[in-house]
Amino acid sequence: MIKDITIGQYFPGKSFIHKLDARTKILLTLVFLVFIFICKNFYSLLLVCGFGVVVYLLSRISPKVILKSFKPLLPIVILTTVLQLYYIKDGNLIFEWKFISITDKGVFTAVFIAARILTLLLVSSLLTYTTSPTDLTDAIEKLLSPLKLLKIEVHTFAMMMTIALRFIPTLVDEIDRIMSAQKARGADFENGNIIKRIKALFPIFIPLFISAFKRAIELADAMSCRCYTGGDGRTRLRQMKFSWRDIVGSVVTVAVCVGVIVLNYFFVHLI
Amino acid sequence: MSVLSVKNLIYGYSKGTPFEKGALKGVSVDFEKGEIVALIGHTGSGKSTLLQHLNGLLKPDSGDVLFEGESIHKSKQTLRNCRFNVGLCFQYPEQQLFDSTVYKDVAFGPANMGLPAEEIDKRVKDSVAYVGLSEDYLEKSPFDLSGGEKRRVAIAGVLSMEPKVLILDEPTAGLDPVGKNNLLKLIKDYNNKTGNTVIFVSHNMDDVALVADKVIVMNDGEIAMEGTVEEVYSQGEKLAGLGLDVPEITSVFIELKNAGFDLGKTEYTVDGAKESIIKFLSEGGLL
Repeated sequence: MIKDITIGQYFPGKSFIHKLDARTKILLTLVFLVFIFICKNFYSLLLVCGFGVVVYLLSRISPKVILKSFKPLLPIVILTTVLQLYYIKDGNLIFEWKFISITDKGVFTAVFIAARILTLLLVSSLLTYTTSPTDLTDAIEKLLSPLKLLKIEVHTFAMMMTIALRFIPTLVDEIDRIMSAQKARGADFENGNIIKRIKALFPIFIPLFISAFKRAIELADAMSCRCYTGGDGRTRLRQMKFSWRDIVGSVVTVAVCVGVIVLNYFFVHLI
Repeated sequence: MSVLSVKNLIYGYSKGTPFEKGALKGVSVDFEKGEIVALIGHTGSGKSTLLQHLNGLLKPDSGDVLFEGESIHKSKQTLRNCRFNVGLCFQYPEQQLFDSTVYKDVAFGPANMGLPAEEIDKRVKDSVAYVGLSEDYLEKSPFDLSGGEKRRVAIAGVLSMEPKVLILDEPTAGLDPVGKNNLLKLIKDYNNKTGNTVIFVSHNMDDVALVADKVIVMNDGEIAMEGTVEEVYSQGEKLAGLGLDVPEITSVFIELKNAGFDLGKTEYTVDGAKESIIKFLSEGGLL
């Protein structure tokens, strides 16, 4: 059950998208996410969605994985769609029954918003699906390095993130194990009212926290033993390098963004 | 009738993903009342998966688990009944301690069973005494105890449910020699006194020889060998082929055989080995 969560997971591969530099991927994803919200009409939205789908196809991630990541957010998508249909009252009436009236503008807006959310989800999950956690944190550290001038400890922050990501699967396994152990002693996590259920979590979380603290202390000792002193003067085994792929990727993304602005400008009247 | 029996159990992990692998490939075994069964096999052979089926924590893909002749997955009631009658104590059970005092932690199981307060009180005191801890421990925090004491508190937490079948996954892992011997003695005592079945996983072949009545060897999700300690240990070569340690004296015998000295059957205890070497030497007129 808890193991079905795919958001934030990494699926190793050799595709064009996998091989892009992590810094490029983060920046382009951010730019792209902004442009999803900039598009104002169906033409620009189509361009953005189409680009999202092309990027997805290039990544060669199995469609099953993507559908699985859509599943938990489906209720939100459906809810917003229904609310739009119900609340937008201007435009031409196309359906009416008692207190429900649906206009063409409502339908347009509903489809528009659903497409936006799904593209947003697709692109942002692609970032973690195609980038290993180490690359991701290395890239964040590099991208945030200007903050060093403000005396912010960027390296420490990145190291904390790496460690946190690294231990998610370990903690998931641990929760599974502790839950089984308490179930074997007759603990019941599925039945009862909310207070009972919250109470039932104590036998899981107390042992979990105890072992997490213990593990943190051990990890700190192990790092000290290997002379870890923080980011100053630390060199890297794997250097990040930009390649022709990053240039191609950036140029295409920028072209799409320019396309969005142009389409927005030329087709103002459509929605 | 067997107290617990497993019929043609098949179970695979992570179905429908690229990580799918078979953990149990058709396991059938019966556990009789009052016996001590040792489950051995190298890492990944499916021992722990099998154990988690015995009290219904895992549901088999196909096959069935019967407790006292009745399928444990028949209804919610039979499953709950099985949870309380088949006490499963995981590896490193001290990691599941959570309450503020030893008393409360040990009482967790019986309280979940819905027993009256006096009965819980009696069971907690009995089981803590059983694992060799004095009454002073009852009001201590389990987190202040030593590793061996924590382990005993955790085992008391399972014993307090008074299960008809007690299952221990590597109960001696990480204990010092004294702690280990005490625990093995406790297993034997518990079995003698209550007549309840005990199933335990071990990697130590000497421990197994010391306490077990029956040995089950697992390999790659299947039962590779099954029988009394003598029956299994006498097939030293086969055990070695399954990647398992045989008792040291047994490997001496295998070496002797390879060197051309056929001493008849392979021995697994030092005493038996002494006898058969003396016999061999006197027959050959060397003594």
